[in-house]
Amino acid sequence: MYKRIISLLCAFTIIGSFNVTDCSTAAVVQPVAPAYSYTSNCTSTLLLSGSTLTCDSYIEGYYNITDKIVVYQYLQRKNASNEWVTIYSWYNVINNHIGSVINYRYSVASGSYRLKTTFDVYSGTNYETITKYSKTKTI
Amino acid sequence: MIYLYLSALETEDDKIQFEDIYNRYKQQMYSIAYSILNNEADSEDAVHQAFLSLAYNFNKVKTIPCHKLRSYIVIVIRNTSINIYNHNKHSAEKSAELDDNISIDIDFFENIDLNELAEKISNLPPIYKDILYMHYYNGYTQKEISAMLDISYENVRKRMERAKKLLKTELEKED
Amino acid sequence: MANENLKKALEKAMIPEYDELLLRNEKHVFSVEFERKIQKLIKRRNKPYYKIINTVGKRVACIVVIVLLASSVTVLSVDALRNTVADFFVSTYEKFSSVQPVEDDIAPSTIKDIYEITYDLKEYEIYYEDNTEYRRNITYIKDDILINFSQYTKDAYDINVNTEGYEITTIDINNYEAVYFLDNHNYNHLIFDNGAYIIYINSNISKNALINIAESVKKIE
Repeated sequence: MYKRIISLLCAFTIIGSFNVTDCSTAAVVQPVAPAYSYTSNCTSTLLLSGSTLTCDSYIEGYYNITDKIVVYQYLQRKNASNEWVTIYSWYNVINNHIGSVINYRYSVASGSYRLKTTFDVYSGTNYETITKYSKTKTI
Repeated sequence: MIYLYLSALETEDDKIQFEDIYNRYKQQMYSIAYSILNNEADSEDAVHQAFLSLAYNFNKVKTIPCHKLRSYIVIVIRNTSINIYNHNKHSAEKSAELDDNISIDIDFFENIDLNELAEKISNLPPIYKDILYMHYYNGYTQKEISAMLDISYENVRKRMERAKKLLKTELEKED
Repeated sequence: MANENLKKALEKAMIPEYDELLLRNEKHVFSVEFERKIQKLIKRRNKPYYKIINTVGKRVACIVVIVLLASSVTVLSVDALRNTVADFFVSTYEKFSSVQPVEDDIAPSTIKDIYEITYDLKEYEIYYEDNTEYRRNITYIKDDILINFSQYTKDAYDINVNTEGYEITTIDINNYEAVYFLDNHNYNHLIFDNGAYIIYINSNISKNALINIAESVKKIE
């Protein structure tokens, strides 16, 4: 029984381990995405003006196919250990195949920021999840 | 479970302190349990279970400062009563609308008006506001809370996330 | 890490509530059985801590810990193929591509000039419109035909586009080199940099019709 347990565990290690998102300081590598069946294009934009951050997420689904989009925005900042930490989050529902969500954070402290947006794009009860990261902005 | 250990009231001092807590709080605990369960037998069960939990966790309980012990007692009896109530009704804890895997960072609450935040906290169901209080005010870890309330670690984690989610949703309704 | 505001709010909300609950005092007479159970709990003989450790379980747990420590955290993903296409960086993945303009420090950071389709679209209605300082989106609709037009500042343009199963090429639009592709829903996409802004049009009309529309994009006023 031991041998079976150990060989299973070894097999698990060889296959690889799971993506630990937001803990890497390396360039963001987009994960293997689910099919873009309901999504045409999307953006996740972080803009900086003075000490105000604008978090803008825009998405186009397909007319007559996409009927709802749930948008999750995560404003992330790099901590002292160089890990991305979510410091603020928003959640909005777009009852359409196309739309945008814009939120702001004022008087932010200095540091490096990025906007992670997750879109749950629906067609009826089916949905796909698309994640997009913005470029990094540093204050 | 790999480890199984029993904690008892080990010293005479423990026993005296425990009995003191029992005598001081048993009536209030019963009242709180009865307000939830509306049944004498179940309420006594709840009080007994709460004291069992206090005994098992007594090494921790006896270090709680007096002024914080009061709230701890309320939380334990309240949550124990709600557990019994749910068990009797065969009802599981309701899920929040959102996926449990999404974690809300507490910095979300940083700039909310204090009075508004306090009001929304008050309006939360007891199991959610209690868990927020235990973790974010008293500083108990999720593991400690799991032992204190006799619920699984996973349940503690889920309750915490649902509590934050509900609170966030209530706050955003005003926007 | 403590969030001071949340902590204060919890104190403000919960302490009075707990105090109020403890004011209740109904003077219940507990049953004999109950008192017996509590006395048994209090007077239980001293027991030291003892651990019942399942030997097999402990060994498996150790192995799991070692395995997890030994394994590195890797990203289970496909590396992008990154190319420069026209004036863009295009990273192609299995199901989509990400498109960003090349760096341009002198391009405007807000939209100062409005660009629009000047092709005759009088048979179309505006289905969706969305304008900010850095992004303008208009969707025109006629029956089931949609034309999605966008104007972006370069700083704000970083997009994922559905390129599953199809290749990206380039097409000349008024001497600008445009990124072109057809997607798996039969939408044609054109993206080009007109020097100051990024223009992006996609539609389920024919490729040639889309090219005509793209060539009609001009600065207004």
